[in-house]
Amino acid sequence: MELTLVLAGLAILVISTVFLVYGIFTENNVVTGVALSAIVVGVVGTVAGVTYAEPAEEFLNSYANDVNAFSIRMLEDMGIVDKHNIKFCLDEKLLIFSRERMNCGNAHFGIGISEKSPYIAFKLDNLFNAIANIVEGSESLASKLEKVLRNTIKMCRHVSINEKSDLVSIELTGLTSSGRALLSIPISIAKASILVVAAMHFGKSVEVVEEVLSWDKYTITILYGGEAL
Amino acid sequence: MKPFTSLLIFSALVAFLSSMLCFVGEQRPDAYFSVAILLYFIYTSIDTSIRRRSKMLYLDIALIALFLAIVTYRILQVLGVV
Repeated sequence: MELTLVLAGLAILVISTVFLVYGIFTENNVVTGVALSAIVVGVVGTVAGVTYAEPAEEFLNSYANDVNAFSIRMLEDMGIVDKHNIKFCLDEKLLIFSRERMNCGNAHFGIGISEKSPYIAFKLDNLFNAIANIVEGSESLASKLEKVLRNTIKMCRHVSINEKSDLVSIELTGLTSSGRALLSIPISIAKASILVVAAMHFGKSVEVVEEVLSWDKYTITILYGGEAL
Repeated sequence: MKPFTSLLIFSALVAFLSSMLCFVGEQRPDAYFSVAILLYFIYTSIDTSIRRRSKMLYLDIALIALFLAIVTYRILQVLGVV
């Protein structure tokens, strides 16, 4: 709520209502008309003030971009940008980027080398808790992803799911410009969110098998079973 | 642009258009009201700062309904139904 806007809107509403009553009683149509116009302004101001939300989005965007740039630089330095394996470990709440496939138990938060494979692991407790507050357990995977990716991050218009044994293929269509930007980099909050939602839904750790990004569409195939997980 | 500035510009535009209607001697109150509603939709489409920060959906629906009611009433009046 923005109190200034609410007060301005209410003040305009009260004054214009007085003029409206005056116009009706004196049968002055011009005064009535102008008062009705002012009422529209007052209502707009009041509603805008009451439903006002702090513009934290821009700050969060720049913060996310900085984090992305830092993470990509680290991936580049470790030489795992081109060929990498992405996995989200549910129990540890770790997002792991590694050159080779690795078990969740071998990874720890931060940078490391496991089985001669360098990796970088991010702790996603905050993202996990945030997503847990958005989605409900009984919903379908598509519905959960739509709530997070479409309604919250606003990165696509439609989500479709194709499930086959231990693999689930998630297709995002109608990508927004910000969504496309987030998906075109190796690591971003968008990809992390997809994996977290999938892991929460299946109750298992998940691993990216394939990613395909085109102009308007992004398809990610996720493995949520298997011994390696 | 901040929402408060946007609201000020919107108010100024409504005031300007209302005075223009007064100037041409418009006597129908609903004409003033309709013009203000139209102006709201046009202005918030161009300057999206209000919509970006506030949820205006229910107000949009209410204003469109009022606008349609006014237009319908006027059409029926022209047709001689009411």
